[in-house]
Amino acid sequence: MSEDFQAFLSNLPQAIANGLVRGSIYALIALGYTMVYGILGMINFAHGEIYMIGSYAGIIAVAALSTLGLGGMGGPLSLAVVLVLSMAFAMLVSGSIGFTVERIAYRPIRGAPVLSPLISAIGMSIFLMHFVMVAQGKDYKQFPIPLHDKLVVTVIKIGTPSLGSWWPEGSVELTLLDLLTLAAAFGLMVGLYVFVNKTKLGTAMRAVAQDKTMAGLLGIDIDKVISVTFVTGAILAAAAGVLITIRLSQTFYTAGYIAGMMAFTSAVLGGIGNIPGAVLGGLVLGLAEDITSTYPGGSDWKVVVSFVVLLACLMFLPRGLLGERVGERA
Amino acid sequence: MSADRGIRDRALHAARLVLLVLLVSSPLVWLKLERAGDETRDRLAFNWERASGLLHALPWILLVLGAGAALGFFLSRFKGAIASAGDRVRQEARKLAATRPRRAALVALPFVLLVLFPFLPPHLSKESQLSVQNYTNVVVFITIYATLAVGLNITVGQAGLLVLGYAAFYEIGAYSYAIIAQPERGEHGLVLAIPLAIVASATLGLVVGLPSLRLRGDYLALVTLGFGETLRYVIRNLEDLTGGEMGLSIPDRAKPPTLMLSSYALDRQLSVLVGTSILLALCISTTARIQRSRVGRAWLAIREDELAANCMGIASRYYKLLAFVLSAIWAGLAGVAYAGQVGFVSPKSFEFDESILILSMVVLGGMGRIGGAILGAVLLYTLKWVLQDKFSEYTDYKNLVLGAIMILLMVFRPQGLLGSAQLAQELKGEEASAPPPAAAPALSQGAAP
Amino acid sequence: MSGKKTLLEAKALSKQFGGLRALSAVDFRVDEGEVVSVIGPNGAGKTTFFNCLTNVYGPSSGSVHFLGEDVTGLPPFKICRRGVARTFQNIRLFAEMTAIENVLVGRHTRTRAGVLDAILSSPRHRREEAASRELARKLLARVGLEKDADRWARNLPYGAQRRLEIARALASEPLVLLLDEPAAGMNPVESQELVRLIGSLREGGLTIVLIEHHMKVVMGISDRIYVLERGAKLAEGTPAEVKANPKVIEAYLGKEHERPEEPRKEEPLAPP
Ligand SMILES: Nc1ncnc2c1ncn2[C@@H]1O[C@H](COP(=O)(O)OP(=O)(O)OP(=O)(O)O)[C@@H](O)[C@H]1O
Ligand SMILES: [Mg+2]
Repeated sequence: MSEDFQAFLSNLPQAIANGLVRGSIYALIALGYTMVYGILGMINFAHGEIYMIGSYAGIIAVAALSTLGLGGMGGPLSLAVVLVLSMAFAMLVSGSIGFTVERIAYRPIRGAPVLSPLISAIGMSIFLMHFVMVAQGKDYKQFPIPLHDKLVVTVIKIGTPSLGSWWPEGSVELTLLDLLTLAAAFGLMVGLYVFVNKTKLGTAMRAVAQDKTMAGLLGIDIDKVISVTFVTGAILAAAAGVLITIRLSQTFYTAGYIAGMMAFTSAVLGGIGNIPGAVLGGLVLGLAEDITSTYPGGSDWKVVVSFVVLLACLMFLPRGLLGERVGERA
Repeated sequence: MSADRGIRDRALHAARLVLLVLLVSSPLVWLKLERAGDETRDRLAFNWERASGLLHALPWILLVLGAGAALGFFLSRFKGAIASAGDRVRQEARKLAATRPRRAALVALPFVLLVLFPFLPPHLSKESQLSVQNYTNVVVFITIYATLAVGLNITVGQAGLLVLGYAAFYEIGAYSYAIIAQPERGEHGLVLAIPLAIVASATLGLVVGLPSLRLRGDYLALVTLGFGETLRYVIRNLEDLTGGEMGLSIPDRAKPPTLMLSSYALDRQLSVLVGTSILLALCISTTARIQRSRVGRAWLAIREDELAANCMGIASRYYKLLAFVLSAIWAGLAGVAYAGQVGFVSPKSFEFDESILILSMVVLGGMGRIGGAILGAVLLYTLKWVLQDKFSEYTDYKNLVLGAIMILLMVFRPQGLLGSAQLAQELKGEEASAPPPAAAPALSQGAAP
Repeated sequence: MSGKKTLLEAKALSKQFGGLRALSAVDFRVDEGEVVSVIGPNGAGKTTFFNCLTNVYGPSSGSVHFLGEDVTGLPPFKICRRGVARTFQNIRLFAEMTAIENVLVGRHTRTRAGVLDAILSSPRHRREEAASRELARKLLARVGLEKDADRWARNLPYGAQRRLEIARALASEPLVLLLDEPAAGMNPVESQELVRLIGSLREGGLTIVLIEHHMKVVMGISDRIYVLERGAKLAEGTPAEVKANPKVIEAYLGKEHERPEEPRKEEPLAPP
């Protein structure tokens, strides 16, 4: 047994914990891809940028509070309030941009050949990315380090026992931020579940996803449902954006690309259009990524591994983990 | 009267959208994060510079808006006249392009002119040589991109297989050449590079195509994208073979031969231009011939309805693989041309953007049409080049404009520049012989059985 | 029926969709030159039966034989190559191809030219292309679409689309033609023409299996009729025998009395 491998094994539990946290963030973004796909049958390529904009808006909100002397570094507002406010602001900005994107770039060509909305979405993605670059500059934007340091403190530490001589002992540490991330992601997902399954609007959404014509005939306002879908997806992505920004303590205008790619992959892995599938796909991909990077030299290959996981899965389940199994009707 | 109302409504709608955009973009536009000297945090400030900048730009903005409004008014006022003039032009064009050879000649003519231009003798002064060199560069890239767009159009436009990682085939072609051109591998030139690139890209086409036999639509799109990304990472990580992030340069001895026309500094570039022109001509002619044949019809049938195609005796798996392989080969050859032109390859040149650029060319021009792919390549590459070279002081805005143009083109012409002509014509014919509404066409994708 | 070859035969063909038994142990046979109809109420499994014959759905059990050979599980394109062509209940034309191109696709199995032929414009390619085009024009004329040859299939009126599907199937020179409700959505004049077309095809020696709801059409042109109900064969025989069969009368009239105004689900919805 090589030493590398032993080290890998002892770090494995920590990698799994990290993977779950990372995966839950992917899942939050993936939900936006999958909901839009479920309703419009299109890949909203600009979704990664919506997430990136959320991360900028989060920083702007924190900076605004501290500039006004209200919170962050020694104002009257507690850390929790600052976080909630910045998340809310990020959701507002991303949500309204998500709404606008649909109005401008997708609504006019609903029903056009499939690839036209895709190209429009790609154009929108390029546009938004460089809009942020031009508007906010080409430098990294920092999340205030003191706040970051207050959040990244270990609150849980569990030792994992050694399993025989070949599996050395290790430990799992979770920071306050990890727990917050898991809680926020989990809470938002439960909220989404309730929204989609228990509310009237959510039911309308599912109806539109199944059959637009029929839903329209039944008097459902399809435009509104589609707008709501975009806004909901954008809100979830904004939450993910803020959480990641705190974790990395910075953001950048290209941040939407990789995250969007991974989230889109998660959505496809889970079966695109399927909401629980997006969550499952995100978790699987997060785990794959963190477990690979734990192996010495593995981080160079994590993209390749994620892709191999996807390919292997699609070979056996061509419609993703939870995608519909029905064949085409003739 | 009613036309006026239409205009007013549309203007109102547009105004509302503009307001919406101004509103939602305001936090990112007007607030800026700035850091003073040794502070550890950003503070938020109002972006005064931008405000004053905008104030200065205001006359221009108003001018553009006014011109746009005037143009819109003019267009809708004289819609009838413009449409009939358009019809006349179209008729004339159709007369002119009545036979296939004439049509081919018409398409080829601008290219021949473009390509011949640098060969014209009076480029003797140093400066004019430089500008011709510049120009030649652009034309070489246009021919390379046109080859790529026509090649990608085989899978995306003709067979209906959305490929998001086309740059991978381009990349493997370029690397095939660069790798065998290295001194430690004998500095081989095009003679070996071309067949090797064909074999390598065709093989990769098969490898990427095989999953397509099981996957549909967007699943396939993601898998091709994944292959593209993976290949880039593999190339980046296999440093011994590929030079990793640093890339590989092609030594002089392995570069494309010169034409020996003169001592002219352009000589090598001209030879590359001849090569890429031949490549493009080959690509267009073979692709057009295949498109008009039994094979091309099988692709279209698969694109339109794979199950029905199967029931009509088309072995769709074979034809999908064929589309992948042919499409990959053109990209591989274009990759060789790229390496020959630039003399250097690195993973940076084949990122996802590149796949997207080529795909956009196909879709903007009009999917499924070879002429559309070429037009898309010419327009988009020229646009990219103009934004990059001619407006270099605004280089930050380059991609902003590119993205906006992609959106606008799709919103106003979703079928692509050439694609919609046929559709519009078909729809017009339909109106003319208007069947009763009950007998409206019943074809729609995904109808329940 | 002795002396005539059996063309297509199904033995105990069954198809299960989850818990739904859409087809259970159906035995079926059609001989050379016959017109055989398959009738039954909505959801009886008629279309599923065609889909199993052409292996669009793999049957759950049972077998399909063509000219005495077992063709169960052969991919649809191979079944077509052997000489079974079909149309679809929910018209599946190649929407953005012209009418004549649709018919030319039907020639696919009867032509050989490949990529190299096309690139080199080989004699084979030119010969086949010319012959196919001529035949396609004839077939279009036969179904009354000669004027629409260059229109997109999607832009043809509904009845014309149904006829174009038949022309496309005929282009593959099938031995058996499977028609799934060809008269659905047609007006009386059009269905009259259709009956005439089927008659003339049969005179030309073509074997036809027909799914149809219009009893007039069915009774007029069928040699034999199979009645399906809930996936199982309820009766089989000549039109007269079937008409007199009490089980058939009950199945049909019983259904119609219960739900007289049940909308026919295959009626086309106008596109949005
Ligand atoms: N792909 C499928 N998946 C699940 N169930 C199916 C599928 N195809 C058909 N069915 C079911 O099988 C049963 C038989 O359907 P089928 O279409 O064969 O009926 P049919 O006799 O053709 O009816 P109709 O006269 O309405 O065309 C129906 O209950 C139908 O819902
Ligand atoms: Mg049916």
